[in-house]
Amino acid sequence: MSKITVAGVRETVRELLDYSENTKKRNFLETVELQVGLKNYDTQRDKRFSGTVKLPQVPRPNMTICVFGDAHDVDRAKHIGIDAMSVEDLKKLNKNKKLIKKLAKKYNAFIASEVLIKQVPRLLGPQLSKAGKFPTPVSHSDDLYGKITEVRSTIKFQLKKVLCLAVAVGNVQMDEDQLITQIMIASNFLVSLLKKNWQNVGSLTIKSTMGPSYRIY
Amino acid sequence: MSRYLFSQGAKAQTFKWPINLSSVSISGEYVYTINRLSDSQVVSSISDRSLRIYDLTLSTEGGLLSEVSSIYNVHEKNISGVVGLGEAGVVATAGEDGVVKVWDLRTMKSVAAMSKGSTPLLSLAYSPLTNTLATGTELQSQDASVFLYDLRSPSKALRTYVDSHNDDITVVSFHPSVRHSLLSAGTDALITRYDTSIADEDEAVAQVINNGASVHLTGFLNDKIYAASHIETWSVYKQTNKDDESETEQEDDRKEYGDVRESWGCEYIIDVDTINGYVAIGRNSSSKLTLLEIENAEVRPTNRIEFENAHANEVIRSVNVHEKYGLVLSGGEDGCIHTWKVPENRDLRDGEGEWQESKSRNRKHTREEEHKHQPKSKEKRKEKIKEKRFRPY
Repeated sequence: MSKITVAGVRETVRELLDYSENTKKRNFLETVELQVGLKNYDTQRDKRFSGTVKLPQVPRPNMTICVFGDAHDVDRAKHIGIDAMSVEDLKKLNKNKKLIKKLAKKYNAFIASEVLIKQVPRLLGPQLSKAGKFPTPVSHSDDLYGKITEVRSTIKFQLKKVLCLAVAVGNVQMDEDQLITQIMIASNFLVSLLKKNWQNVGSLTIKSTMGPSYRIY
Repeated sequence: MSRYLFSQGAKAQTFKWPINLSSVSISGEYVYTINRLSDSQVVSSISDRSLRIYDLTLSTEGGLLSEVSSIYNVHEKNISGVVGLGEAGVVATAGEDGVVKVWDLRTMKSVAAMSKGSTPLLSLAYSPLTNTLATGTELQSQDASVFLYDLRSPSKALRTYVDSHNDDITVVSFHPSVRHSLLSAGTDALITRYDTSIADEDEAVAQVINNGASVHLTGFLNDKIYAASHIETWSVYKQTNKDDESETEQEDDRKEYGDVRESWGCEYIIDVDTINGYVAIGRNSSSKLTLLEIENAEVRPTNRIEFENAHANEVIRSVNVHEKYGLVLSGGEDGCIHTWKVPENRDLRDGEGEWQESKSRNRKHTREEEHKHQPKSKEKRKEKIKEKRFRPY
């Protein structure tokens, strides 16, 4: 049973959007994040609380992606306007650590053809792992654009040693309904992973990058 | 491999017996791990930084645990891993104080301690094939490392791999029968397979898998690799060769089952045991512990053994199965270790009926059962006769 309602969240989302639209408009796209405060949770002893949530909408649209593809996937990537590299391109890096680091920095995430991904450790060494950007596989039967959207709309969350964590769920250009859906999905998913569900939740707040925070639970 | 637990050849049966034979409890603490070192010796790690050693008395009816001794202050911080070292009464522990210790349980003394600084260690594994311990660390500044120690010369780390993860390493796991094959995985969602006979990390890394979600458990499943995540997803991957340049797409290189909480009927995955062939799952809202059979690298959610009244709505952290006696040990966050016994002669219908009658504890079920049996139409009776005829007993 969810303890937050669409109607309740709607009101808060309106306030939040109103603030960033009218009170203080910023020169960049503000992200909306969901902040979760936990209670009755022992970070020392309890199991880890970390993972990913897949949302229906892309929360941060300007995330950059590069495809490591075979001939087929390079073509597909070019067709939809996504940067792509072939095996030959990767071989040209010649396992040069500096160049690979540069590549890792240039993009937020990588996708690789299923047939190519097994060679990535040999071609690029451990640098991509070190950067936390080892590619996600895509097969020929997958829809490449769909895969890219999936990677973009998947957000990470991780509880460290303090009892609160934040996840980006959207941005202020989304409309009210989209934002509400994102918030509902993210909060209900996170809560479902807690051992005592809502009894472990101290507070839920939403906040735009520069705006004040609004409590929804 | 003896198949006691799932031996009935039944593919879609649920066994329900509240057969908790005995339990020990340490109030206010969590039971992290349970390891059975021999037929009669069980060691358990507790959140008060102690190891408890139990004597397990086995009989055909079940098992009884009695504490024989304990070691306190095993580490200066939390104990994060315990493994038996094959030899009777010798275990290794890893701690969040950054130390790996080897304990002789006959003398209750630490006989060796290995450390590479104070970075917390989060995982531990042992390979009897090479007599090597592997341990993974928490992320400290830029590094999350895997260390290997050769137990014949523990003074110096045999291998150090520092570049393959960018977050806490929550699990390390050796292949049970292939020498030098090791997996490490962590909250960065990556699973790395190493050939530990090679010292140079660039060469040693044989395969990297992006699991898409923070990894809770990973290990070898026959010739494949399984992964359970902290968001309760399950995936099985093929081992691949990084020198393979063929560009033909193989089917089922990866099988992603997604969130299994609904399809398996659980709230969380506890543990995976590929030797005995089961996944242990839990449902703390209804205090249930369930074992699902793994067959041919596939989890069979229909072939399950369920234990009720397990660990009073708390999370179960460790499960250990004694195949030979059909004995199951479980430890949880309520500080209890339960022993369960799966009856040897368990024909589902008869067994359940008998059990329900003899135990008043589950009166509700008995009533349901009776209710079911009341409308004995002709068809049903026919069915019953049919069933009887084909029953092997």
